[in-house]
Amino acid sequence: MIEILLAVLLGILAGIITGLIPGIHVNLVSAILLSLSGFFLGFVDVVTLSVFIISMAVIHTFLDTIPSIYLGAPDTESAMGVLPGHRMLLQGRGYEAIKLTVIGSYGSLLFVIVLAPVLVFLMSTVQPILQPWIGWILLSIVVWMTLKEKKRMLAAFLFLLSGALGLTVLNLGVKQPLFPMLSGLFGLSTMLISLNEKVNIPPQKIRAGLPLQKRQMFASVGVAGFVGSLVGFFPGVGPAQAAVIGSQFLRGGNKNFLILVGGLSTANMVASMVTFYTLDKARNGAIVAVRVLLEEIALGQFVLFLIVALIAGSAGVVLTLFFARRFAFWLQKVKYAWLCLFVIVLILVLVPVISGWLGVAVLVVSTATGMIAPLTNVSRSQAMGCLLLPVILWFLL
Amino acid sequence: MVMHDKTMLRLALLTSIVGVAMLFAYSEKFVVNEQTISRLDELPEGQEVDVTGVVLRVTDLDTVLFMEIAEEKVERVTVVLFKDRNVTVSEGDFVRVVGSLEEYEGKPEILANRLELK
Repeated sequence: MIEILLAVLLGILAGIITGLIPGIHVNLVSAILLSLSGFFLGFVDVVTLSVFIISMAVIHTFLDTIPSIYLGAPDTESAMGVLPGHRMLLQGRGYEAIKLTVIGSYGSLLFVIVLAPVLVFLMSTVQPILQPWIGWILLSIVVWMTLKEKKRMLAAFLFLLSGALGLTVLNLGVKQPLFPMLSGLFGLSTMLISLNEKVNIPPQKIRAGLPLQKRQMFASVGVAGFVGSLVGFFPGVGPAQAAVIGSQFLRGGNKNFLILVGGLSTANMVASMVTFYTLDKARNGAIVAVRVLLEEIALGQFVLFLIVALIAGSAGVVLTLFFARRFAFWLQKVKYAWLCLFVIVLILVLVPVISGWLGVAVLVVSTATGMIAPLTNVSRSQAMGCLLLPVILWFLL
Repeated sequence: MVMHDKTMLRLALLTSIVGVAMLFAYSEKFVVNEQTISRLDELPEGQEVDVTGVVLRVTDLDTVLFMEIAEEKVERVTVVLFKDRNVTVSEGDFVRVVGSLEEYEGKPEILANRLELK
């Protein structure tokens, strides 16, 4: 018992590191841990090691919005949150933006845990029925998204260009290909445009209260929990694509969208445990590691993991708000231009380390592609074509 | 220096289109298969693979079976299967292998946990 609690605690500490530093993904740590598992298993059993991984992965989904929103350096899961979050930061409402993602994360965590038995049932019955249709569903969402744009031709062009980029990058053999691609498309491109416009970060308001409409909040949490879990059933579809799907069903602007983005990654993480339990499939790196360690998951272990997720998530709320307040305070002391340059240099150092020199080429091309949407007033969701087009083609071809 | 939005857009479009074309030319293959898709889930090495192909060579030891199989694109890969019961595979058989992708002496290798004769 003490071992398990210690594993949860250490997982939380590790999750703080992976969440706050851009580019360090849970999957990377899980893969390293797995390669060292022979050593660790000399001291602890497989369940304790799995608890550590799950605790780390869940807390990561809370904290990763901080570098996304404050620095514009996103992970896959929170890439779609960069723009609205960063916009709020430039209005002095960065803390509020983070808080909204925390509400989403915690709300959808509770949603998935409470509905876990229903999800187990849904997954085993609905998944086989939906599987042949998922390509068409995604395609219709993309068409709908493009028809809503004012400049439809341009939007379609950007979607296809990003899609071609995604397909090419996935075939390049680059390690962790999504890191340079998404950092370029959603992070670096935002930084360069802000630098050119000479924007400044105003003093950040840290308010304890947050005016929210109850109905809209519950709707956002519900959509996040439902769509986040649903995409967990299918290969290749993750929180980033889910954000595009979910945003088509939401009204009410930035606030609800941020709740959605926060919620999707957490819901998806917890739902991937359900996928593992019911379908014996691993949909993300953390669960791959757990699956390799455990081989089979028993009901008791599944329930234990849900409890671990709940503990880690509760700690996530406190820790994310704590770091968000701290960083908001520090951000006011630095010039925005310097901050942007710091992040650009950080990404330029991390990309060759994580993805090699070819990764730098991917970063440059992705940054250029990412700049097209804001410069032409087309929705940035179109750039998600990089992840959506390969999946649509795979399901349809 | 402030760059005009139009200049920036032209530069971005040019870099993007030329860049995608160059990366495309550089990529050795251009396919959408299960492995491409699993990269979207950012699965680390040791990821699950599922390949189907013709058996080119079999080395059957007591407890372990090594195979060379050619996939439909005629790409060779070594498959290792630790046997828990008697398994017979002959060259020329068409098999489906589900397992994890590992690296052995710098070369990719599939550690099979399921083998189906087609």
